[in-house]
Amino acid sequence: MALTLLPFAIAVGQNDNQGFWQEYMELIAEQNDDESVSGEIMEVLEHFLDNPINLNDTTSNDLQKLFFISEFQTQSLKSYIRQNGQMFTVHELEFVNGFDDETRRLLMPFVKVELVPPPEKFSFKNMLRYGKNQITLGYKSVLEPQKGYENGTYLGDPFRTYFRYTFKYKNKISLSLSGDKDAGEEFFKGSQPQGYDFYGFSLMLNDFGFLKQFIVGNYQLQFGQGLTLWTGAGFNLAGDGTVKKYPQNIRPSGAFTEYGYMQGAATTVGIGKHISATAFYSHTKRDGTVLSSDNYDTEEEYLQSFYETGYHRTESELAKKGNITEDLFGGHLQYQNSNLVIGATGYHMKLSNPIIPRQRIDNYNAFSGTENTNLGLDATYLYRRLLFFGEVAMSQNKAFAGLGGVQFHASENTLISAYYRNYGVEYQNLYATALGQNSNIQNEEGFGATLRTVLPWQVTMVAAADIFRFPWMRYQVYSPSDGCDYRVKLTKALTRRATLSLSYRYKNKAKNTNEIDSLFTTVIEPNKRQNLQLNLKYAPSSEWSFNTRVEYCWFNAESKYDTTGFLIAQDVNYTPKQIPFSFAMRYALFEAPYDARIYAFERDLTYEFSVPAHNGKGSRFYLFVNWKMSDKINLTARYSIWYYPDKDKISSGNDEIDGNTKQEFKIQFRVKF
Amino acid sequence: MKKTLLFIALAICANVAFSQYAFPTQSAVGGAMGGCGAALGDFWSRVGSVAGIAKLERPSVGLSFRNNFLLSELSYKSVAFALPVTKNGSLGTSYTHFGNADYNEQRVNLMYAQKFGHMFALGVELDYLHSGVSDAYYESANLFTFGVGLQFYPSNTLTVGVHVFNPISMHYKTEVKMDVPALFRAGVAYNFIKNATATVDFVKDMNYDSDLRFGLEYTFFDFVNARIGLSTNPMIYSFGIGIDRSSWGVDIAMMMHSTLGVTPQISAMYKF
Repeated sequence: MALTLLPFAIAVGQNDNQGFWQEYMELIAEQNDDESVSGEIMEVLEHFLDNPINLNDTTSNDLQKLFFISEFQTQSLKSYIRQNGQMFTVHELEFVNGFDDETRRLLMPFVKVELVPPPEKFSFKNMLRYGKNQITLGYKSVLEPQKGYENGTYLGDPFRTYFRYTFKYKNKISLSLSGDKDAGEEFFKGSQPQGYDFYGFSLMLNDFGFLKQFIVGNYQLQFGQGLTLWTGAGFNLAGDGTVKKYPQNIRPSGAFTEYGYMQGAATTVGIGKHISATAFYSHTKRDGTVLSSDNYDTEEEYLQSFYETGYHRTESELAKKGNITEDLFGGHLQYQNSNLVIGATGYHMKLSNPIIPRQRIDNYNAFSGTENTNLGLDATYLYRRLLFFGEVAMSQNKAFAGLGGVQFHASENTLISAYYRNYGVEYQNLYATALGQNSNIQNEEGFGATLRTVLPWQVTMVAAADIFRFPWMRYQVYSPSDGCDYRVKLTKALTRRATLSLSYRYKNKAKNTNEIDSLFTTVIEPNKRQNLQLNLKYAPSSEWSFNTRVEYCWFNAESKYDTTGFLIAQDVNYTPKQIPFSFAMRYALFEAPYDARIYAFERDLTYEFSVPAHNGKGSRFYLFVNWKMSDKINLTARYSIWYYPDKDKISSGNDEIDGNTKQEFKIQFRVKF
Repeated sequence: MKKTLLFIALAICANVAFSQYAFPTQSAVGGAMGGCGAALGDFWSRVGSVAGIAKLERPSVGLSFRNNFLLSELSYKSVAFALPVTKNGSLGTSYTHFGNADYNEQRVNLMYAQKFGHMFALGVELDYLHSGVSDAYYESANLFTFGVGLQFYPSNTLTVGVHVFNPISMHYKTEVKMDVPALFRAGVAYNFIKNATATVDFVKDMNYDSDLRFGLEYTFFDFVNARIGLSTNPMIYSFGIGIDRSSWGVDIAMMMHSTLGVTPQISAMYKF
């Protein structure tokens, strides 16, 4: 993690911050097991760790890219600087309205204070002199033999290897070039004569006069609240009480994001002071199995769904690669003044082959065909301490989706928000990511509220409630259903060096019962899951920090046995000052049946990300070592092991391991110049 | 033969009942407080948590005896010694015997613990375990394993302790696999008012469900300690009393299992 590169000054914040990431990452992992999405969020944060945001620069929108900073806070900071002039230290934030202790603590590692120099003219000479290059090379492998390699199903070798080159010039220019060969994929032979299975490229320019943003290569698009168009990373439900999304319009796709990205060019230009316009065009190959229609008259070739894993290890996975061509274009027009943002988004998508989803009742309203158009209007309005936001969107079949909410900064450390969403049963959009309990933006109505405040004895509380309803069938839920999701988290700083937190979550979502006969006799039943987590972080010195965690998970559904999961874990982080090494390790014992599995964030290498599910009975250990060979060179390695005393094989299918341990070794080399 | 089988069955029973294996480095202090000890400050808890011995100021020796369910065949006998060797570091050793001549388990460990600043101590132990059976039909076996403990003292009134025993799940290399499960304890002790300490331990033995333990101690006249406790899995109620003078102490405890009955424990310690 780039964290270890930080100067010591913020190393204290580092540990806190790891806990903060942990919270978000685990939340995402529970919702979707999609690693690439979360990896991208890490990339954004890591970028700002290396290139802290200058708080005095009121023209930049970088602060909003940190999803935990609200519109109110950004505006409040701007007005503070207008009234008092530029800040001299980051600690001045204490006097800025809306920045409570918690926000300041989270923000510190990502910001700096410098006098804003008069805008300098861009020159190639400066770019070459001050630009930062970085090369990353990585390798990882599971040490036990896996079935897919032994029987030859996986064509390639059992290791993953990747490279990435980046060039960054301040926040103006960023270039990324990357290649990734996943474990099991061939390398410079057979199906992969060009070497890596995946190559990524993006070049992004920011703030060149009227040209606000320009990108070529792989990129992601984010507008409004995500109902019309939002690709890549996005939180479905925020853990810190903020609900509104902060779109970045255009941003580079993650270096190792192998699907779901846009490929082509996009740009945002400023027209006058208040108006900006974005245009984008993308031409991509998507993965999927092409099937021939039974109807011999038309002989149409179609697909049931996209294949979204990025793995091309076996003959059948290779056969899915790049079969479908997608053309996508559109634009976004935005008006913005200090209190109001209004935007309009539209895009059109065309596929080379139609999607005809598998015939299933929950797919009845899923997108089918080759073309789709989505249009949307979004608005944000800040009135004193109230922030209103919302978006309405329409798909080609004239179905609608809408979201509206308000965030209220009731006092310096109290944030209250409420929202309502209604995503039509027939609304169809392959590239929407918005607040909700469904993986796609369709067939959902819900409302919720969050509260973040400080209770007596300086206990910080974040509470959230979300109540939802699905008017149509869903995957494995063959009846309309409803549910709820409640969370509360209490955090208390026991001393300056020890923080205790207790969180509880109750989630109830319906699913088919186990006694399923046929489609017509299916009964659904509530599936209740409760999690109770106790976490204690303590840093007795600047070199040592520890984290002890105990978590229970209770699962309950009528047609299944009640099950309980348990995890106890100890983290030890050691960053000695004398030697250029830093260490992080964990030891955990767990016993958790599948339905009561427990997710836990793990320290990992840069660009890698792990929040594994602890499932079954066993122990987990990992050791992470970072060797800072010089200011410019870093070598990081991680060894991890799963041990399941009662099993004689782990995983299934091609990943099956004969034995009761699964070990993994990773190493990464990074050089900056 | 039959007798041996009975002892093995009883031994397993005793282990199930206390959801722990060869882990009796716990005195009548912890025993009276629901089996807690990861963060407690008495001599025996310090030995059990390994890291704790770093805080000992004088060489100390202790004896402990526990009679599971009043059956002499299931008794634990322990002796422990700890010696501060440097300003911040202490060495320690302990020996525990469980069972009788027909079936027994023994454990010897060597410990070293060191303080790092005022707030943190780390300890390691090297353990030798022996499982002995008199009957020729069964095998005796030995193994080496280790444990790590750490304690954190955020303030004068609060202690946090974590102890891991046999993390790599070493097991006896016998024909029939004999598990020595990994054991993980994490606890907090809080001196919430003058003279009173509350403690909570989470205990996870790889082979059993997790156990949550609670204990409370109140000190009268500066040297008499009254204790009560509760272990939730299995459900065991406990209480006890002890005397703690500047150079010696004696404690007794009674643990009550609803089905298997009572277990008395007595321990004593002396500071040189």
